[in-house]
Amino acid sequence: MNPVIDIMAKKVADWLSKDGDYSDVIISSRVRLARNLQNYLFVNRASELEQQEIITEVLQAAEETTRLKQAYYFDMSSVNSEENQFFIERRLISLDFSEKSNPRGLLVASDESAGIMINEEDHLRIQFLSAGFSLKKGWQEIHRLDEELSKNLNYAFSDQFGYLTACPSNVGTGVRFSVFTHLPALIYTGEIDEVFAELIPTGIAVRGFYGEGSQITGNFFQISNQYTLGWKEQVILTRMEQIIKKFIDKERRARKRIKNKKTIFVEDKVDRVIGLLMKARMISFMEFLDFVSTLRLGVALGITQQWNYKTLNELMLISQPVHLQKVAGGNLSETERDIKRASLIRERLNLN
Amino acid sequence: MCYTKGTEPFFKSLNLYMICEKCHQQEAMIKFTQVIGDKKKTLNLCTSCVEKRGLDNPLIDISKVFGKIIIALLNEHLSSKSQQTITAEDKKHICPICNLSWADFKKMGKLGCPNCYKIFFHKLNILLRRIHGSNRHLGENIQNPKSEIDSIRLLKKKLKESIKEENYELAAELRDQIRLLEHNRSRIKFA
Repeated sequence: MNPVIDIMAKKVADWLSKDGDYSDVIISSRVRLARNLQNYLFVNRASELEQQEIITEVLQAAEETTRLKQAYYFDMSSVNSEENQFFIERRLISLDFSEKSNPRGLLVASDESAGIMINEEDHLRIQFLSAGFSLKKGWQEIHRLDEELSKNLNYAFSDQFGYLTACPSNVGTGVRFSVFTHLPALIYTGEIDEVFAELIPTGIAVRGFYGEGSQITGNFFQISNQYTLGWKEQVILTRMEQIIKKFIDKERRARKRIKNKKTIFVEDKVDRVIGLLMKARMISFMEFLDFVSTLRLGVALGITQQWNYKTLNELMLISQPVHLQKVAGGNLSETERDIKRASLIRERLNLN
Repeated sequence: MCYTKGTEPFFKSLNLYMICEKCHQQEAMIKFTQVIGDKKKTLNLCTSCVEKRGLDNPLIDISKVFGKIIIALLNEHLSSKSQQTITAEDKKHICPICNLSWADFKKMGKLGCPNCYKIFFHKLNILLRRIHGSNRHLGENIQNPKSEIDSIRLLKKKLKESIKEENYELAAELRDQIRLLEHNRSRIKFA
């Protein structure tokens, strides 16, 4: 395996190692920009040679930026399927990007906050990841990076439509704000689908654990804006912040209701999970996501004092299949992974 | 959420359950919300009635069912927006730079190059209004006089190629486009 990936695997990404704002509900925030170069066809029409040229141009421009002048670079055509999965677990690439076979590149800052997917659906997908509810900070960072890049890149832009993208659903600002949230109380009280149904006409999308095209698991959701055209970036940002604050508010109120009226039921549930984690010999990742969800709720309601969000967030990262193999230092079968996961969890949560 | 066999589901322990509104026999475990147009309908259903509606056994993973409901709602929302048929005229409307036809776009949902936004300007204007509720960019602006010149350069290159290939129909189209762009440019300059 690539030695750089080994270095990355040994540490926790910046956005997971900090307890950000509203971290009881929002795990992390992401801002991304879709950009294309004027002189080339979009990725789906460009020849392999042109796509290579695009990579070269982007890399040269990135070297002139503060955030990415000393970044890790991965030529995605020489990355194997395990490494691909590692990047997905790390939230550095999309599922779509991992499945393509055209010339692609991935640039990542060493703290894993800023990055660029080169030749995904658009020539550039610039992203910034940060802990907790921090979309504003993400926007400021990515905006600066974008301005630096645009000094050396000739972006496809029109006065009428803004930044031009392969898919018209991204045109205009090309900006997507999203947060990774944990909403257990809204699920338990059954309010969640009502809340989501209200969201659909407001142009907000809800997705699963690994983003686009993935399943919703363990009460974790990604919430993002759909509209990218016709509004200033600041307006989209403010609207997203308002909607997400509403979510946080509703979730917190539901938690309070559960705590006031049903404490014993939640305590029972949390303790059952702890009992299971202490005794189970094999735990699958999907199963663990459900356990983590319950433990997080326990932390939020003050039922479990011994852990914090940071510990649970980290555990959620390193108990993913490829990360687990890194810890074990070799290839593991699915059964071996489940055994390893069960023992790692006991160790990290002091349940031995 | 996790359930070991024999333990009661969390919903039940919270006393939030009621009788299924479809079979009126079992306890309703799932609140099923449907949005059709601007009308919302909520049904409280039991496990087996939800399964009959084509969803997985919800007690194994309730969140998965919620996911499916949301995705189903979104798909309904999207398909009502983009029901399209491909016409012969769509096949003839082609971007000379990347050869993408409007029919191709309807099939794939992706444009081929920045110039497509000029070629399909009117159709995109309507489509973008439907997707975003707007067809005018109001966000960050870049001063980029180079881009117009670049697309003229790209068009001229294509023009040369098409003449070489004796594709005169395409060549004529390209020539018109170059003229239009150059005309616009000079107009801006002297305005």
